[in-house]
Amino acid sequence: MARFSNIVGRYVYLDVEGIEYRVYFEEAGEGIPLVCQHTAGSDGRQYRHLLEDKDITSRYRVIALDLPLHGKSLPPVENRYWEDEYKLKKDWFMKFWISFVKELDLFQPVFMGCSMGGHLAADLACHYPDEFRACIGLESSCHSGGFDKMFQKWWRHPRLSNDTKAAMMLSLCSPHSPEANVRETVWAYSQGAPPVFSGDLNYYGIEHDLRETASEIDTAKCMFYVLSGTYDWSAYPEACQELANKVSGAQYTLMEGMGHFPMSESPVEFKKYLMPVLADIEQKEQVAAA
Amino acid sequence: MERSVVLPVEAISERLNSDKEFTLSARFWYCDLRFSIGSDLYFMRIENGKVDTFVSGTEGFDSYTISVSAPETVWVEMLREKPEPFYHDWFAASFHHELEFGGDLESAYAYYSSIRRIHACMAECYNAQKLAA
Repeated sequence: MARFSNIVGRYVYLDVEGIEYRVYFEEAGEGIPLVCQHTAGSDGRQYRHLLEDKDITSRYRVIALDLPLHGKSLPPVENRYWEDEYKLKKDWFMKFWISFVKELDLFQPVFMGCSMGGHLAADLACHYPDEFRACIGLESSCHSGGFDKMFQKWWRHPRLSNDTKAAMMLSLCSPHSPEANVRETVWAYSQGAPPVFSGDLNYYGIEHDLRETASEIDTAKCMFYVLSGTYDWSAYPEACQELANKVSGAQYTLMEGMGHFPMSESPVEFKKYLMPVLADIEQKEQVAAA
Repeated sequence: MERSVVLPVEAISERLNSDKEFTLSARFWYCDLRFSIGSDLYFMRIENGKVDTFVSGTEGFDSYTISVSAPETVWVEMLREKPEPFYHDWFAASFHHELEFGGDLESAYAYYSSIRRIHACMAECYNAQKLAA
């Protein structure tokens, strides 16, 4: 008898800014939709532990997608993408998620993202507060500037192989995380197409900038949570806390001994920090409904 | 003043040349690395993915292509078995602590997994030496 995972994967066709995208996503569970965005240069496999956790899937319909050009979501056939430099744009990124939520007919899901997904959690809470009941930003800060030259030149260099990105990502992982999980996390980075990581960082490092506008996030409309790992040198704890401090009603959690990829590099420890957040969202929902 | 960080160069060389991950990741690599621990200098030559020489001290005129440089206090933290945040990796330390990581960045990024293994094996041998003392 085969042992199957409860995760189901399929494709959905989305129209974003007049272009059709064939988007791969995986889901498991029933209940409140919990939609998950992976980090720059990786894909939805980062959430596989969450998707197989019955404590979560018994209460949440967990959905993790591969952003176009990532994982199993191929570039759109209508675009001559090989002739243009790939750059992830903030407006497109937000519209893409709104389209995905509407196409799947999800009612006010909880959005959770990490790194560039964490930045997007803040941008969605700021710009689309009516579409999400809560946004959870993992390794999420107001701004991650200052690394432009590094990622434009060295993280997409013709003479550097796919070993490089994986090795660089090891630097963002915690020495306390289980090695097998860390190695799996960076493995996905060695599988990204050459321009993808660097192109994603256009959003992460340049276009995402909430330094002046984070205080506009209205947590009465959309609850907002920021969680950060102590070993993340990029979205480091002080930067993440600064974002939470700027948002009235936001909750900040410091994840001791965690790195930049909590859900994949240390899923057991991450669950200890995530469950109280999910419980808080449910409790606030019940209070609001009463 | 007595130095608190003295690298066991022979043990580190042997450890790296028998390390499965290092010997895989460092293949085809030719590089001269300089490690500065305060004012102390160490030079490591990699020839075709193997540590050819690793020596303490200099008489001057030693060339290098990649340099890792930090005060001794930073090295003490970096060589711990489970370092505190941002002492766990040379790249991380270069952003948050007083450590300079530089030189030929193309070679450094291409072989960053090997460079990380050098750090790991260096710490392992350094701590074993301390334990034995």
